[in-house]
Amino acid sequence: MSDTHLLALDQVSFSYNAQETILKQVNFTLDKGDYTAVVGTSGSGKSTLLSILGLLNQPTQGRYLVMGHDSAQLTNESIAQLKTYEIGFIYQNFNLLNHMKVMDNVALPLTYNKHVNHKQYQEKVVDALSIVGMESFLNRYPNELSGGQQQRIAIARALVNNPSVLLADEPTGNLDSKNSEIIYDLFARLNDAGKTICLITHDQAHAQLANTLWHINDGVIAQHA
Amino acid sequence: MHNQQAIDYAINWLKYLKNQPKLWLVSLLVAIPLSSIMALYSYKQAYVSPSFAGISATNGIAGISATNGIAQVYITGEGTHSPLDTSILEELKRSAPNIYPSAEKQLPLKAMLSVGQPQPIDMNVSFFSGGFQQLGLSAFQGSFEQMEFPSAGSEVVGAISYQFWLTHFKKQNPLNQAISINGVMIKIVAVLPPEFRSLRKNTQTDIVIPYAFKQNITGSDAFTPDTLTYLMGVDTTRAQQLLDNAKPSLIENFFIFDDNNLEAISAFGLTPSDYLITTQRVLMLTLVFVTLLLFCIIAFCGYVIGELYKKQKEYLVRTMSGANKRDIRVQKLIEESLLALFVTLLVMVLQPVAHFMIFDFFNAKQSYLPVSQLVLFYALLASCHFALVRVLTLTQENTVKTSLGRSNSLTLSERIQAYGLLSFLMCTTLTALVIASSALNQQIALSKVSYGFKPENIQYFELKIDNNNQSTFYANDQHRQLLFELKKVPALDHVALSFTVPLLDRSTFSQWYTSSGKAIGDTQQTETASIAVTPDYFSVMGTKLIIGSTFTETDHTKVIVNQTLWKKYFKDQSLSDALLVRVDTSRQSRKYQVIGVVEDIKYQGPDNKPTPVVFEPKVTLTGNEVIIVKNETGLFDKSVIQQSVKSISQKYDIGSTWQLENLVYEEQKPRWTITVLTLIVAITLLLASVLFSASLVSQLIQKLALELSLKHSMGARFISLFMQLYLPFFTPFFIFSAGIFISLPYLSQFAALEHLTPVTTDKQNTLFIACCFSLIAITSAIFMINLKKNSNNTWHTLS
Repeated sequence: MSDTHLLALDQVSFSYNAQETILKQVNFTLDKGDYTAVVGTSGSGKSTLLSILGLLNQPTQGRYLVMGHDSAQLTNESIAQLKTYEIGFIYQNFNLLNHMKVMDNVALPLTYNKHVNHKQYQEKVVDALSIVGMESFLNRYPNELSGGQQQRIAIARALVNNPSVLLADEPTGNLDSKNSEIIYDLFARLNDAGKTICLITHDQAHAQLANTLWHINDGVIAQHA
Repeated sequence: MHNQQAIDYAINWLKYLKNQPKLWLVSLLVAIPLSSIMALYSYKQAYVSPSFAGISATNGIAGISATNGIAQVYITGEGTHSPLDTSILEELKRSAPNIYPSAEKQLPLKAMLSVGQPQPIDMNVSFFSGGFQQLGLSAFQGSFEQMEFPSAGSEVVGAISYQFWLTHFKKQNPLNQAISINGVMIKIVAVLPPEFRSLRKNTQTDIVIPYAFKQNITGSDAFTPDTLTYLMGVDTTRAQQLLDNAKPSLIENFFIFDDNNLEAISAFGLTPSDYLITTQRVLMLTLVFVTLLLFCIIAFCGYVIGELYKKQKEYLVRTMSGANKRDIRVQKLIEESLLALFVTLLVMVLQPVAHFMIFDFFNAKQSYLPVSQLVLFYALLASCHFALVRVLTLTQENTVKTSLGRSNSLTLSERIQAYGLLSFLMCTTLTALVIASSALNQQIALSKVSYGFKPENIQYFELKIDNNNQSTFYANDQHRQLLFELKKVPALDHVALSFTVPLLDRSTFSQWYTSSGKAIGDTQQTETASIAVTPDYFSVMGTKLIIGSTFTETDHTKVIVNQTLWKKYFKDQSLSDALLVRVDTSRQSRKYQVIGVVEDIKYQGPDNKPTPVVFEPKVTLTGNEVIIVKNETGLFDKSVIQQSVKSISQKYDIGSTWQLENLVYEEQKPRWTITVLTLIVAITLLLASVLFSASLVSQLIQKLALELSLKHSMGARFISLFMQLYLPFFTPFFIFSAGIFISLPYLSQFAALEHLTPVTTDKQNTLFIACCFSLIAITSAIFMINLKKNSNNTWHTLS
């Protein structure tokens, strides 16, 4: 396996216990500028795959190379830095904190960015919100917004540190078709602008929008020709 | 609102109670310290008030309104306590004519009821200088008039107890009949009331004789350290004011030293030392139980708050089912009242058990609070409990509007509640640990204090001599014969004679002065413990001779003193210059050479500071001796000793026996009980606080799971998440700990007998810092473990 891939899984297996293996010797690559979709049914292991890609879980077997570095060799500090600067997460249920305003929700990742001081927060947040078209909602609370708006805020939060990769786990699973279209348009624009995107979905139609398509079934992954 | 509805609410609550073991547990936790504190209060009331004597002090004599109307007054210097002289009491009376000074001393004496009676009987005699009216005592038969104002040279009179009257006079008229004590005829002028027991705690007085006649009966009317002096008609505060005001004049005119203090306490019928030790012990246990109570209340509040979350949902469902606001309010009030009543009932059930245990622990007779006080206490308890639950409900209603679950985070008020509870809990635990460790430290230090003797294998036998009512029995030289006979008994390795038994109230006193005329004692007239012993006494007791040598049987003008007396009066002098002068009852003085200094024997136990003692060689048998025997096994055959004693004279016999080890064990019992009790409470508190905080932190982190997982996924470092979680707890905890640290010297004063075994500031600070760091380590570990669990489940929480 080449070290030039942005993210690469080499014979990776993962299990929570000895009885059940969630991922089975998975080989997967993600290169800079890719827009990749992983499609699979519920329980196929696609979310677990994303958790490993996002460094939230470590493979129980095999190697995971992040920008050429073996994840098993990374220190906690290096992992934390990669998560802050290189990876942005988008979730199905948005995971916005209801007691914080939009501004504070989007600014959350900046807290861990050592290159940004507190005075720059507002500017960075507004920039991120303007990408998703939500800059006028700065002082609103999440529960005052629609589902589509909330997911756009969540995307702005994922973008605020300008990461290399966006990992999206069923980003439109809780949205109607109209709002889903808006989100996929946004992904397309972000990819056009150079962002690497890895999308997990069970929706074949939306997966087709990606440049590369992978299928996962019962922990085994294969690239769609 | 129908009555049926109210009954339904009550029944529903009782059903709910049935299935809530946690509610039982937290309520029980609150009830245990409450009932213990109540029992301690009850004990203190019984102990320091004159109620044990069966007397009631009258209030408001000559317009003075007093709580009890009696204050015991004494003079103290370097830890010793002595009664005030008659002249000082008279001086106080001159400055405040509406007070009534009084003195009381109890002595066991032998009496003959009628001529021709074969055996003398033992009587507990109270010499009391009056104040029957002030004590609220009225005669069952006769009158106290002659006793209140005995005139010089008048016939000796006395009042017998009701019990004595029943036993010895079989309800016949005792008035004007005579009792002979030490050859002095005492005319009975009154019978004390049936409810009267004694003027001393834990004794039964048989006869009360005016103090003025003590000279006639015992040959001396001087006050001894076990004489108690009272001011009647004033409470303790007022008495203390009187003493403070009079002190300058007393220093000038009555030889009171500047460094001596005049104190007033509310104790009746017990010595200041007993009172101070007991109140310290009561205070120590109260502190331990109060901190336990505080902890339990916090745990209780935590539980109630948790239950209120659940209840809010129930109220919502009821509202949706047609209940109006008034219905909900009434339901809440009924439930809160029932909860308050439930806890009160638990206290009522536990209180007799705690009461029995506390009184048993102090070896005290069971004594109960008046029903009115009990009712008031329970009413107050139920009201306070209701108020507490009401406040919690109102706070909850006004601050928490949403229910919590996954995908939500804690609101600010919920954070304040959770962190507030946790901080309070840990601060209470810290306070309890500091108090407990300080108390334990003191108790352990006290248990290590040397008694000044080795109690192993020593037994005391009381020598009884039938002196046929001679005024005093003096058997010259027979003490030597007695020792000679006893030494022939094969099983006895060592034998000695004395009068005093350590840890029992048996003492003899004399007036001693230095050669320069300085009195040995806190006042010029107070007598000093003076014990006649045979030369082997110190070797039998295992008491170390520090300076000089012991005396022989013929050294009639030589004495040995204890270390306290030596340090106070002869420090830096040579033995040859150390002379003591004794003034006998006929005011004759005689010089004695101090030939040795022995270590202090703690006759009253290690809690009491040793007082000066003079040991003189025994020259006669007076009929009040104790035989001290020692061997390898500590087992002695009483009949063999009896035989040996009777071989000298058939008038000799053996009375009571005491094993010194048992006396020491009994003396140490309260100390060990306090130690064990404090240790149990401290360990329970620590374990409970660890469990409770673990559960609280786990709940807290569960509710913060989303926020923490999000931050974790964004690259937040473990340590920064930990600090974010830990600081809201640590900050108030740190501030409170600093407060405790500053108040540590005051706390330890309450928690320990500091004047006896002072804990150094360094040691105290080390203890505190150790407790503080232990709690910080424990809480940090709890937070870290839970945070780690959360980090491991980050993806599960987010996806």
